[in-house]
Amino acid sequence: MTLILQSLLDGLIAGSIYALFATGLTLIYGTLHFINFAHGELIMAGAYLAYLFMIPPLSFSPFLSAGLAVLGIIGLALLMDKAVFRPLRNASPLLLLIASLGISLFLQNLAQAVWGAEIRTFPFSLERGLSFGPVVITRVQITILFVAAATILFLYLLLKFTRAGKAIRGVSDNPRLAETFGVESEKIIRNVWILAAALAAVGGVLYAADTNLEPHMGIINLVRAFAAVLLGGTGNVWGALIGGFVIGLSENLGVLILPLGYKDAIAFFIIIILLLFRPEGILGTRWGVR
Amino acid sequence: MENSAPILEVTSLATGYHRVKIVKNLQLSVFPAEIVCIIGPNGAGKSTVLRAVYGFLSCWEGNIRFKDEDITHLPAVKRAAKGMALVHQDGNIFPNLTIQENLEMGGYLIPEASERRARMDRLFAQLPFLHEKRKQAARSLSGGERQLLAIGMALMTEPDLLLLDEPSMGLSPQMMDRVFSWIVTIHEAGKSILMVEQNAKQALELAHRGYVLDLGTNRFEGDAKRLLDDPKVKRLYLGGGDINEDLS
Repeated sequence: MTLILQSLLDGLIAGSIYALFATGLTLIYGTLHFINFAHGELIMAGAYLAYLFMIPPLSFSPFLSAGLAVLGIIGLALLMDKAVFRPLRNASPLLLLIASLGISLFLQNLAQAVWGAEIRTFPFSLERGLSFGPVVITRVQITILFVAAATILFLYLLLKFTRAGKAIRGVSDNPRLAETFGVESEKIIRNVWILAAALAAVGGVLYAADTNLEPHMGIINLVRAFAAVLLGGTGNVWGALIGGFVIGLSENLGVLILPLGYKDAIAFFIIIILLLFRPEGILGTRWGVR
Repeated sequence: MENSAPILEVTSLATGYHRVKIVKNLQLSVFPAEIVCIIGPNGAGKSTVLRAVYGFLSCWEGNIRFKDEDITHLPAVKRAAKGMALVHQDGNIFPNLTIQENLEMGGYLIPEASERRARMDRLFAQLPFLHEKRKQAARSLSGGERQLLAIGMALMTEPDLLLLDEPSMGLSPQMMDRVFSWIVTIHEAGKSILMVEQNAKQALELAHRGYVLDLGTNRFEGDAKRLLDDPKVKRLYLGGGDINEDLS
């Protein structure tokens, strides 16, 4: 019983991070209509950038480092769009997907060349977890939950109540009609990249804080995000959010039954099942950022 | 009405899709506070004309002037700001946005939230059902309600010229009457309207002038009442009259 409660808590923490990855991925899909394989590398680069600010000689505080990392990743995403995706704006989704795969491999190998393949951790001092009855949670994990919740709330308020947020949903729902009303799609696409990159970077830093960093951490998280996006129905932001939590919980509850080594297989398994039986997702019916 | 300058003037327009020319040598004008209707058989290029006027299709030949300005090559996204609005034939709402959000998108170019609100409230006064359902996703509306919402969205920017592409398409007779009577109300508020209609007879009854389009060019044009009574127009495009009688 204790084990189940602890796994639920761990699943919730992991799920809140996956939800950040998945909402960003689905926002890009909803407006640009392709799955950005380089989304995982935005996550990875966000974590490494924060790491770079945290270690000497800079030794910035974790929050300042994370903030700077978010800005850096927004810059990286805008550069990616300008250099690769913008010239391919009217190309087929398959071409965009392959281009993003190219960027993904390039960034993975660049990271490995710069930082090496070894596993690194944020320079946090080890701490004892706080016990709440049978479950244990560390202060870092409490911060992770808090930051993830605040980010999700921010995203909700932005999409639901601001003019810029509504325009994002409008463009993904009916691009021609948005154009009719004078919405400049390039401006909206830029905003979506900023949003997706910020979500990836925040998630990447939180993920690295909960686990560790290595150059290929992007791929497995892309797979998790993709599974979450499929669960929610592609383009459905709130579906992806719930999907993220479902993946986090399934992984952590799954290893109660399966050997620990199969943890990473769970997201793949969910993708296969979904593509076979419900490609439109559990929650989603049609595309569009909702 | 014809003593003032036209608000919209299309001269020798040619356009089409890919390399297929659909519309050629088309002349068309709309004067201030006028309802002009384009009728014609299926495939005559009626909707194509509207799409070209709004800039969704590029002009291959000819030019388009709106309010004394050449807008021939102005991209579609810039036209709303000029005082033009288009209601598409289909895909004219945001299905996953609420009705209120749909109207806000219609008024996207209005910078002040208070002004958007005020205009929305005026629309709600005219169409109370939209107010009742304002928090529902627009996809929950019936076909006729969607059409009314789509026209309402287009009115948010208070355009001088409203372009309507088949506003009665697929509607029940009652809804059709409702849409047409609203078009008259909009006109009474001082707007110019250019509409394309399959439902030629009803459209000509409320229009001032009409153009009969066939094979991509204007065959007949003139006073709407005269077109309604013209035996040739009647026989060929209004589906009325006895063929044998008209042959004489």
